[in-house]
Order: sequence, then C-alpha cells, then structure tokens
Amino acid sequence: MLSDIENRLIEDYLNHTLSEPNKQLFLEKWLENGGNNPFAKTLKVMQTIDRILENDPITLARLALYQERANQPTAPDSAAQNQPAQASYSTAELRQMFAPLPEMEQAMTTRSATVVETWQELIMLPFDGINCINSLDFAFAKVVDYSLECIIYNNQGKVEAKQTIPALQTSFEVPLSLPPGRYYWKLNPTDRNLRKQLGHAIGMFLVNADLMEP
Amino acid sequence: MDDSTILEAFRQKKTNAEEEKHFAEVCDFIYNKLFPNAKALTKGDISAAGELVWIAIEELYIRLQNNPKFAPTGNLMGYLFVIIRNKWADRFNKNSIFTDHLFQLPFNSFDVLEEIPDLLDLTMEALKKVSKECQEIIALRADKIPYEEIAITLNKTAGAARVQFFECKNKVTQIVLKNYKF
Repeated sequence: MLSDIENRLIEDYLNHTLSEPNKQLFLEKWLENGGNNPFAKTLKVMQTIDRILENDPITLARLALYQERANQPTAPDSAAQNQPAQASYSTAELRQMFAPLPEMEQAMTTRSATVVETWQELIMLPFDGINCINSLDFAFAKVVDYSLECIIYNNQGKVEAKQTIPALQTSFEVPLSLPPGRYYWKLNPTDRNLRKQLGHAIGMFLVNADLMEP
Repeated sequence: MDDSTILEAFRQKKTNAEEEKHFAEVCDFIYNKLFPNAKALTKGDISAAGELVWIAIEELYIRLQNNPKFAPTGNLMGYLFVIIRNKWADRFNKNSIFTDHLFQLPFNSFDVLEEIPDLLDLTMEALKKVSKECQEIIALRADKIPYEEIAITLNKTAGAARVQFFECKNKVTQIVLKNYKF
C-alpha cells in the first residue's frame, strides 16, 4: 500500500506536474532497492493498464506472445529442439566442457587495447557469453565491404566450424550443431593484407549453458 | 525475416486482427534474436533481459511512427541492442532528463506482464465496473477517435472529454490495484 505522498507523486508524474524538489524525491523512490519496490511496481502496473486501455500495439503484441508462451510446455530459451540428442554428462565432464580456454580469454580481455579495436567495435552482436541454441547471429554497425571468415573453436582450441561470409553484409547467421560447452568465435577478413591491417575480432558463447554449474 | 520486413511492420498502423497478428510475429522474431544477448548482458537476469528487449522494441516503434523514413545505418538487431545496452548501463543514473513533457526514467527490470499474467483480464473486469459513459469514452479512445469527435458524441467540449478520459482510466486502474498487493 502506497502512502498518500507516494500516490500524489505518481499522480503528479503522470500529469507532468512534478515540482523540482518532488522530481528528486520521485526518482529516489523509483530507484529504491534497485528499482524493486512497491512504488516503482505500482507505477509500472498503472502505465501498463493505461496502454491496455489505449490499445497500444506493443502491449497487445507482448500480451499475445506471453499468452502463447504460457501455453507452450517449455520456455523458448531452454528449448533445444534442433540440438543433437543430449547425452547425460557427469559433473566432471560438464566442468571440462565449460572450462575457459586461457589464451582465448586473454585475447578477449586485451582486445580493446590492441589495433583491432575498431574492427571489434563494428561487431554489435553477439554479446559475449550468449547462450546459443542452434545458431549464432552476428550484426554489424555498418555494411562490411570485404568478405570475412568466421571460425568456431571449442574450449580445447580445436576448430569446430568455418564459414565464409560474403562482402556487403550487415548480418549473418552461423548454424550450430554443437554439444554443450564453451566456444569461441573468431572473425577476420579473408584478404591477407586486410587481415594484417585489421587483425581479428574474437568472442565467447555457450551452448546449453543451463547445464553449467552455478 | 529481413530488416525491411520488420521496419515495414513497425511503420504500419494496425487496423485489423491480421495486421496485429503479423506485428506480434515480428515482435516475437525480434524478441527471440535479442533475448539471449540481453540475458548475457544482464548476467542471467531473465526479467530484466525481457524488459530491455521490449523497451527497445517500443523505442523502435515510436521512432518509426514519428518518422516512417527512419532506417538504421547498420543492422537493425545491432541498432536495437545498442538501445538495450544503453538502458542497462543507465539503470542507476539519477541524472535522468526531466523536460516539460517527458521524464525518461532509468530502466526498471520489473516485468509487469510476467508478474501479473492476467492483467488484461483484470483490466477488462475492472472496466465493466465503471460507468457506461466511462466505458464508452475508453472504447472510443482505444479506437483512436480524436477528442474533438468524442466531444460531439458525448455532447461535451474536447477538453472535458480529455479530462474525463483520464479520470475514467484512473478509476479502472484503481479498481485493478485495489485487488493487487506487491
């Protein structure tokens, strides 16, 4: 139950009539306990009801998808329909499968200090540590006007897959069919001179991260 | 699904159930592409990851509704992920921007529809409990009827129709909140 002051703050916020001192108070209440508080939750519920009543297309799409997901037996993130048949792994095996590969981890932590920084920054997706199911999606900040090679390594440094990406792309997808574990991707221009000039970009991803120890 | 298909779906006004369904499918496609990245960004906080993806979807929608010619220079998913990254990085920022009409709040990971999956039903039930006139004005606004036309229908001024709409929405909200404790 919110206090009268809190209710008034919300009302003033929604009416765009918050006074300067109340703006700060409002913000403090919003951020209290990292945002996990009745004040912030109430306001978010109120805003969502507003959107429902106004037939907001995003809220309606979201509701439709939540309902669809609720009717499905498994959540999409844990669904692994296209994965190879899952063997049962021992804890020791899983530990080994998800163990980091020191040289790759080192390359990832130092990459921003090297000349390849610009090239690395061009790659907006995937985010490091992403849990993949059956594909790894890359997205670039702009069209890459040269062809690329994408190499997937396992956590033993062994090449698992290679794919050439034609020039003039802003995105591409690497299909995956890998057992659970930690993997690394490396992207570099296929042209030797460009490779020398730009170096490579590197990142890490997981397959079936749910199996990993907490 | 390519970027131009997505952008077209976001530009379109949704006028029938088929268009709404197509739009939901496009949103679902974006969600499935971005959610695993957002989950990695939030170090496994599923609620925050989901909320971030929807915020990005909403920002793109508003942007395209305001400027249908807008198209990101690079990849669309990359563009959306930049929004997600910025929102996440800004979540504890107390220097939010207050302007006359807009107050950009820092990101909050509370996922309302995850927490209250039956919010739509609760809202519709609450709607039945308000006056017939309130129900009518809310239905008219849901159909995007301008206040000027509503005013003629209800024999009021446009300003009075607007005030009444906000009061009616508030009544519905209060009925829903009365039965819900956080």
